[in-house]
Amino acid sequence: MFKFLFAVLPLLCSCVYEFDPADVPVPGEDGMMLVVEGDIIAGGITQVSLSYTTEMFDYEYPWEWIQGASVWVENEAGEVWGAAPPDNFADTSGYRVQSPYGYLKHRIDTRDLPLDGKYRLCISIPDRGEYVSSFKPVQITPPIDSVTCSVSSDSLQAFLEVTSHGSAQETGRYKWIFRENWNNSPDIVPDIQYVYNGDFMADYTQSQKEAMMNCFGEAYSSGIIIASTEDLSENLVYRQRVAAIDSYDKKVKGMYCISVVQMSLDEEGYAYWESMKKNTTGMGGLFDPQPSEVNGNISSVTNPGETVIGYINVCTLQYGRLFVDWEKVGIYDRGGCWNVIMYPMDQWRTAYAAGKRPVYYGMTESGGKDMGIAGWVDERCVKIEQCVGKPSFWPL
Amino acid sequence: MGKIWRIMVLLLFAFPFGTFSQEVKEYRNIGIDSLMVLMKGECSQRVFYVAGEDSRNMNFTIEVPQGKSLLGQIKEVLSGKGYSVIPFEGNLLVLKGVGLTESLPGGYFAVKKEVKAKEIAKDYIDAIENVRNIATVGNKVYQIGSRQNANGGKAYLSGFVRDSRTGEPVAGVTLYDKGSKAFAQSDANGFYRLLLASGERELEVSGYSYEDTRLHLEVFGDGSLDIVIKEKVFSLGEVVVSAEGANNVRGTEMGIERIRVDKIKNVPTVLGETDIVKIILTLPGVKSVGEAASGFNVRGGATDQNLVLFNGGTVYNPSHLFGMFSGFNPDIANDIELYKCSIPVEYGGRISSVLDVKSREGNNKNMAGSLSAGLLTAKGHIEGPVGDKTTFIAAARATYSDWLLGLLPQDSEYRNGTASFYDITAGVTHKFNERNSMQLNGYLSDDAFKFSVDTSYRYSNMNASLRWNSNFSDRNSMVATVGYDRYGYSTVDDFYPTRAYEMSYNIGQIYGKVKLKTLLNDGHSLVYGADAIRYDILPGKYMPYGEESLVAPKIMEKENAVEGAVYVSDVWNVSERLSLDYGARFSMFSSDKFYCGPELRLSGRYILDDGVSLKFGFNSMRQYIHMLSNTVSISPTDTWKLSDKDIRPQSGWQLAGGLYASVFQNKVDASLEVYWKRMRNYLDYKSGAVILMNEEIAKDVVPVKGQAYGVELMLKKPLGKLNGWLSYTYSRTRLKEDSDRGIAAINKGKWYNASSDKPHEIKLVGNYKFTHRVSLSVNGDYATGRPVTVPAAKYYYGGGYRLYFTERNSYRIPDYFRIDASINIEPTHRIKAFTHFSFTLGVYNVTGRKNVYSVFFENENAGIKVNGYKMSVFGAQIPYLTLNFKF
Repeated sequence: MFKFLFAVLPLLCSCVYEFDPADVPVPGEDGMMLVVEGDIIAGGITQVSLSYTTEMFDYEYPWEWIQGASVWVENEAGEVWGAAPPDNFADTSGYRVQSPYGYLKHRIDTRDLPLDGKYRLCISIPDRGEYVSSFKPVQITPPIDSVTCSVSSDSLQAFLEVTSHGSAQETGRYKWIFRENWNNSPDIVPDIQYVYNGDFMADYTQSQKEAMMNCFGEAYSSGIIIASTEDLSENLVYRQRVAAIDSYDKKVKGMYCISVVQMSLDEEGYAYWESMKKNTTGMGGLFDPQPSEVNGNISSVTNPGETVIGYINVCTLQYGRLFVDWEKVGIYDRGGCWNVIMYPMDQWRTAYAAGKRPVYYGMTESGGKDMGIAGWVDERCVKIEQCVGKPSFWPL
Repeated sequence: MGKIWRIMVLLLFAFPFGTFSQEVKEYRNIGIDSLMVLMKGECSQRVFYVAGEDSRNMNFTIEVPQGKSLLGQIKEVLSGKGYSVIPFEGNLLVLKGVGLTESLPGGYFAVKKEVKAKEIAKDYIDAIENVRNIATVGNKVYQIGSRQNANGGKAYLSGFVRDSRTGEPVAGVTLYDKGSKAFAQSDANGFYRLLLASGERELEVSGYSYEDTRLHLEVFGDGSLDIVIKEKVFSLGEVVVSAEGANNVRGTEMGIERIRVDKIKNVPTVLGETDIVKIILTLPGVKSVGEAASGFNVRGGATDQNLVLFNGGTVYNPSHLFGMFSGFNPDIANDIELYKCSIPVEYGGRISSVLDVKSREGNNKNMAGSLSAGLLTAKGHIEGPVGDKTTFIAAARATYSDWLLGLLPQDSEYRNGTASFYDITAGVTHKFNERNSMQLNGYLSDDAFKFSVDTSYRYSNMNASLRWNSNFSDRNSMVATVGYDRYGYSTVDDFYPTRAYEMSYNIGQIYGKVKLKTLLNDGHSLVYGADAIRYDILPGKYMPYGEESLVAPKIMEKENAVEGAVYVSDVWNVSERLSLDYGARFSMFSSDKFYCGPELRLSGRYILDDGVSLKFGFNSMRQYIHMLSNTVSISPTDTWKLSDKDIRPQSGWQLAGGLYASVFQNKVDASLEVYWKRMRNYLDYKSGAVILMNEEIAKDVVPVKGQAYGVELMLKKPLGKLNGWLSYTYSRTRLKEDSDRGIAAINKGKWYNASSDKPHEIKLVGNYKFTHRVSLSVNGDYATGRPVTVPAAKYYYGGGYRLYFTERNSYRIPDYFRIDASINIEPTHRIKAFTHFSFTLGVYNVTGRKNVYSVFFENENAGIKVNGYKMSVFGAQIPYLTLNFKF
């Protein structure tokens, strides 16, 4: 009978297969649509990026930000805030528009934007036309009360959370983006490396080892994190989860920092982001809603029928930051990186080919180095995938 | 089987009552048994009679004056009590009612095969129960009406058709008199009425899985005749849907499917569970969006355009366990009628189809029951008589499917899910007298499931109804029903304790219906009546869940409305070949706005030749309650909304025609139906619509018009070793937003495919009986892939790739193909055995094809890659074993 039961296993979600890209239709008559991302930041630097949509499975397409466009912010009276000089001030906010292909942002100096006006973004792209967003009042973002962390009951995940509260007059619709930095040193800092071409061991220098110790990782949020307190009796967001880290992720090995940027959205903006979120993540299930597109608030002056993707929100920003020393929390799963296997010299080539890497020499009976034998671990235990410099705000 | 008394007394043991005396003899207060002994003593013949409760309590006093025979006096006394004594083939039969003519027409036995008297008598008595005029064998002549009052014109014959074993009424049995081309069909209560020319008539009685019977009548005037028919022996394993070919060719209705659940139990279905909706989906013109989708689409209609009735009550969500099962327990739900086109006038309120499911009446002879266990559910039922006039039936079904979700892979988000459901159905029938009966029915279903630890869903259907059937005169009958239906659901989300909520919705309706039937003499039969429904809807209640929740309680304003309708229709047998069924319904609805409108129903049949007929039909319908949804199938959080000042009633019409023929010596029924259908004011959601807790929901939906057309071809072999059906359908369903939103309209205001638009579909249901004990069933389905919405482009936004969707339903998932097979084994057929045991071993999706339910796209690798996925619900072979016990 039990065999019968197992036959039912594939039921529901386990039957998910990769989809053949060839099946997907090419873009319709809309062709390449303009995509405008950015928010008008009252009291800060407004950053805007311009790009085009691309075909669904075309990853060969070189990412291209639109060059040569000019952008500015104007109020209802026609007053204009123009481009900010790129290097006039240090941008330490952690807020930026980015892509895996680098980023190109248009910067507008809106540090002195009065909070009581209504503003819109204007874009002029040579050979394409003029675009404007709708006039929006400034959404005042309440401060972040705290950034906290917690660990799931099975210790398999860590969560980073934001708590904030605003007044009842404020919209109570929030969006967050964040940046993570962490000490990205390898699980085991190796003393030696194997040179395959010459079949010999070379020592790492002390400074090389220190550089490995001082490797930092950096990541930006990629999901859409929004919440609304519209249905609540108080404008309170309590421990909203912004990031989840698996226990085998190096982020939770040592020192870690999350810098969170909070902004308020108006009702229309919240609906726009919510729809974008649903269309990207909540699809395909039995009771998931069908995808549907919500129009943004940018329109073409030159060609009113043109579809433009993007929603320009006007708001102030609030920041919050949390440092966590995960070593003290102790949830990091090294996944066998303590497991050092000793191989004599004649097996080094084979071990290397099998994806092992040396970490140190063996010891002689007298306590000295035995250079004829070396301890090996899996490559991932010594590998450094990302190594950016130590952030300026790092405490140590 | 009821207790039958048979008395055979030989001459040797005859009582020495004073039959030779010349004085007045008197037998005071003797019981029927003694009376029979007297008779036997008198005439030296075998005497057969039926001992019912009434006859056993009877007392007789017989005086035999001089010169009179004892037998003559007994006959006289018996006839005074409503019995007749008929000599037949050397025996005496004592029967209630007028019964048989005393002699057969001349030359009758010369042409008919002679039947041994003993057999006749045995059959006859076996079948007779405490009912009036009962017919069971064809080799007799039944006298209808009184010879004295014979007028030579036409006469009405009415009565009930019952099963010889259980005594239950049998619906869908056809009665046909070839000579006068009179045709009738028994209704859900087994009742029929037939207009016959007087004289000698030969009535063909046929019903699925019942033995065909020919009754010889001699018609003098109006009369009644109950007909007892025998189930074909060993009909187990037969796949039988709808009444026979004769019905298909002769009835005026078109696009109607009748199903008897006990005859379809071996059609292979998911996990071996017989399911009414899954069976309906094997019929042409009925589609669903996917394997685990609740709801069904009939001829291009939406899922909310089907009126689903269970014993007269509306079932708003007739599904269990994400649509894997329908809410009707097949042990008790028996007669199922699906109206795809000729929708009778008594039905209204939905524009696409009517699925009318009725539960059985309990066995009126003895207690019976069943138990069965499948992979996911266990179910059982019990039925039987309570006293003489009352029967009951009750069934329950529950699932133990939690283990299924527990076996899902570790990384599956559903692994911590749970799912359970149960349903309970019960009915009590009481017969006051021959003409009046009452039925009380109750139904309760409940579903609860959780896909993740923090979100749970629950929904429940409840129906209660009381029905009174009255045949208050030979030509008039009435069915009156009152009832209450309720549907509600709730969702709890407690992921964030401060934002934890419980959202609930419910709809309640109280209704009353009266339907009357009158037979007029000149070939017309009228159906007329009225309905009224009062709706009460709580569109949404949003409450905090748990102590820490900050959710502000929000209760939306209740909606209520009254819907009413009056209707009349007439079946007019214009000539022997042409018959028309025409009628109209006028429906009214009042919420914050009053709407009303007529609905027309017309269908006709023309017999071209024996076994070939042409039919046509037109119907128009109106619908005042709408399901608002942005999912492709019925989901447990779909909202039903009443028409109001912003939401106009839906309306639709269908025009259809068909050709029906019995071919291959009437062994195969062939049919070809074509239809053309239009809909107005169907509601589709706007992009980004919020369905739940939306006080201005009218702004999030848009009226849509629809058009559908199709051709349905079907070959059906209802009986024989090999039986089943094969159908092909070509159909299209397209929608178009009917508003002035311009470019913002769905697909820019152009026509787009409905989610159920699957143009080509081939369906096969086959059954082959190797022996009486072993049969093989096969079920196949091929369909064009359904339309889905896929992204046309991607763009980089907010730190990751996002998808841009444009045209709704512009792409199709791969074609669907599935074949299932099962072997049904019944080790014992002994009728006397206390329990009957059978089992079914089958495989769902024999080829293991990974049929696609949906496609979706997700960001991978920190948002820098978008992957496409296909999801299959049953993407592998699924073997199953089902055990059944009957007692």
